[in-house]
Amino acid sequence: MRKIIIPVLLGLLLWTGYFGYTQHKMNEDLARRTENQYQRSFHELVWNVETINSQLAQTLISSSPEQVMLSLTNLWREAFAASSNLGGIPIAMVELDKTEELINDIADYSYFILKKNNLENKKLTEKEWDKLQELYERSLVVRDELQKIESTVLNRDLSFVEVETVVLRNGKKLDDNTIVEGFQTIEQKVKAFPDLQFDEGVHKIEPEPRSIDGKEITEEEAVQIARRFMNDHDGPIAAAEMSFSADGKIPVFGVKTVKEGEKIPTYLEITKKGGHVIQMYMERAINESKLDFRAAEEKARQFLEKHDFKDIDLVDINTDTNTAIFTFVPTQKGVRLYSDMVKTHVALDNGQVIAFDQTSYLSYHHERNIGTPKIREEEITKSMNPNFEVQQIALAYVPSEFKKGLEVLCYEVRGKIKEERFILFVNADTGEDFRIVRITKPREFEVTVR
Amino acid sequence: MRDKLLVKTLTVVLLLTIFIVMAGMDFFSVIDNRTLLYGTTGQDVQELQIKLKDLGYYTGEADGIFDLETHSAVKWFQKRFCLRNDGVVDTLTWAMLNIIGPGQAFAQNSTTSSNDVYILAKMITGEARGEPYIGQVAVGAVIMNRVKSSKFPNSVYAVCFQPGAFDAVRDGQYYLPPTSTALKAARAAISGWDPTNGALYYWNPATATSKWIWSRRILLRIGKHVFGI
Repeated sequence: MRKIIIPVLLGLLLWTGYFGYTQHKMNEDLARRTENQYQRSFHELVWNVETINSQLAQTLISSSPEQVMLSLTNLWREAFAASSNLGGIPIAMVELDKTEELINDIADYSYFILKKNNLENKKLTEKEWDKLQELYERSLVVRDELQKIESTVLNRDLSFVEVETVVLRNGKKLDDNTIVEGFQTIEQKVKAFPDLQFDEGVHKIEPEPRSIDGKEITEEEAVQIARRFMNDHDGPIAAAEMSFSADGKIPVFGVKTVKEGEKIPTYLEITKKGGHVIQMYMERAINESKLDFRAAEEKARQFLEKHDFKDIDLVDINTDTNTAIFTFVPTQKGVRLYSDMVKTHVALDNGQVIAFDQTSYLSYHHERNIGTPKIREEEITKSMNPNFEVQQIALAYVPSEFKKGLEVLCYEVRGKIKEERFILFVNADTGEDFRIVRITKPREFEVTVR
Repeated sequence: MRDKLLVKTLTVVLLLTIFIVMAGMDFFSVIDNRTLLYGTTGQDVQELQIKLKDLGYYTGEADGIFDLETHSAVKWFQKRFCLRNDGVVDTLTWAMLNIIGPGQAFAQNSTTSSNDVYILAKMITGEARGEPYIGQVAVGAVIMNRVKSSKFPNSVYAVCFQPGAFDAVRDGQYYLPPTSTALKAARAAISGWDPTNGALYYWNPATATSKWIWSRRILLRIGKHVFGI
């Protein structure tokens, strides 16, 4: 018996060994492929930063506008590539806020000058030169450190996969921690520079929210407000309780309410100041659609009217499964105020408003000094691209993407080219296109859920 | 006498080991079923088609030809049962096909969604399946806030797939079908609902490995997660 078992066991052992070996090989192969991806991103990042640095240098020494423009275009492109490649290496455990900000600054600032000088074809101002000089100094530091890391990576064959498995996943330190420490050094060195101050118009901004009027409310009051709101909106409420408290841009209390005889809750956010219901989301299941959009819009309008939203125009309709999403903006003397949006979701089964969001309205709504447009409506329609079929035209205040607190009086021209629908916002004083919005619905596909 | 018992036990253990190891290897395909892929024909393909049809994954003819329709049915089946969905019917797929009865395992539903929403729903499922609904929306909102932020990549996909940014991508939970709740939460987040009011990070205080995450300013706490900027 033994005579048989021993060779069989031995054979099995050999075979297991072979099996383990092939598995190991496969694993190694997989890790190598991942490593190659990381290495590519890293070396490209170094290359991007080198290019950024040399292009900045070229901008600084050149005196011909054309050459400067060329360098600035390259800068803009390389900065985007750098931030994308930085996102491709596994160093999420290192804080790189300032470094990322620097790369973003370079992209934004080069674009800013490009945009400005493209129209006027003029030389850099002294101020711009100084700013580019400052960016150059910072990029030099980043470049030097990156090159140091690169040389060590090449010399000692350091692995990013190892960084990912040991440092990122297990929170341990590597024996050779050059990569992690290198990036930490970059961040520290960039941090050590004084903060760069840019003029308005360089970075895209979100309009600063206005402070909300009213007195501070307590948690109990918030619960009371939510209870009253939902009692009125959805029938008797069985329970209302504090869910969370958040101190973001607008401090709010989150309250959860449950309707009598039901289990699925509704969430409301109530501003700590003034006690406004800023958002409401009901999480109920929605049955087959019974209403059309017109009826649903009427329901949304009724709801908003009840909550004191007057003079509102519907500007956008969206759909979701058995739900219609309506976006309204308030008007003042017939001018649409685009900053002050209110969104409502209407369930198409029974027409109930199941979600409501007035964050923008609360943040930005105020009385405007309505100006008169310098250009007449007929002139605008006359100068339109002949392929563009105008369907509707209205006046609107549109917030600037770059200047704080600036709103531009525009003609809002809705129309289409073939089947593509657009909204053109045309500056009502200069006649230039201020913003072009293409109205597209994201394509929906069949998907599986569990 | 004792020797005999020993030999017997050893034999049993040996047979068992062989069986288990073989099950792990592709030996079944040699012994039982061969590996089927696009273009294969034969009795076993027909058998496969009948099985898929019974389970509701295949609607075409059981003609024994592994065509595109069969291929996509196999992929769908594999995806649903967390197999590598390459459309190749290997041992594991055969095994799963034999185990599963109609309507078993993951209850499935189909609906429609845009790709961005679907990606977000998968992330939410992988990251926050056990969380309350609002906590799931909050996770989606953090991803959307990152898309808008200049410090992070500019698309939903690029944000989700930053190396090391999300556990669900690392451990593969992203590659499972999302729950319908997560899909709803994803829609809410994409339509602009942000319960966190601008948070860019979240972490689970119980399991967070990285210490620097605590240097972030905490905005709020929902369920198991802490949200911050």
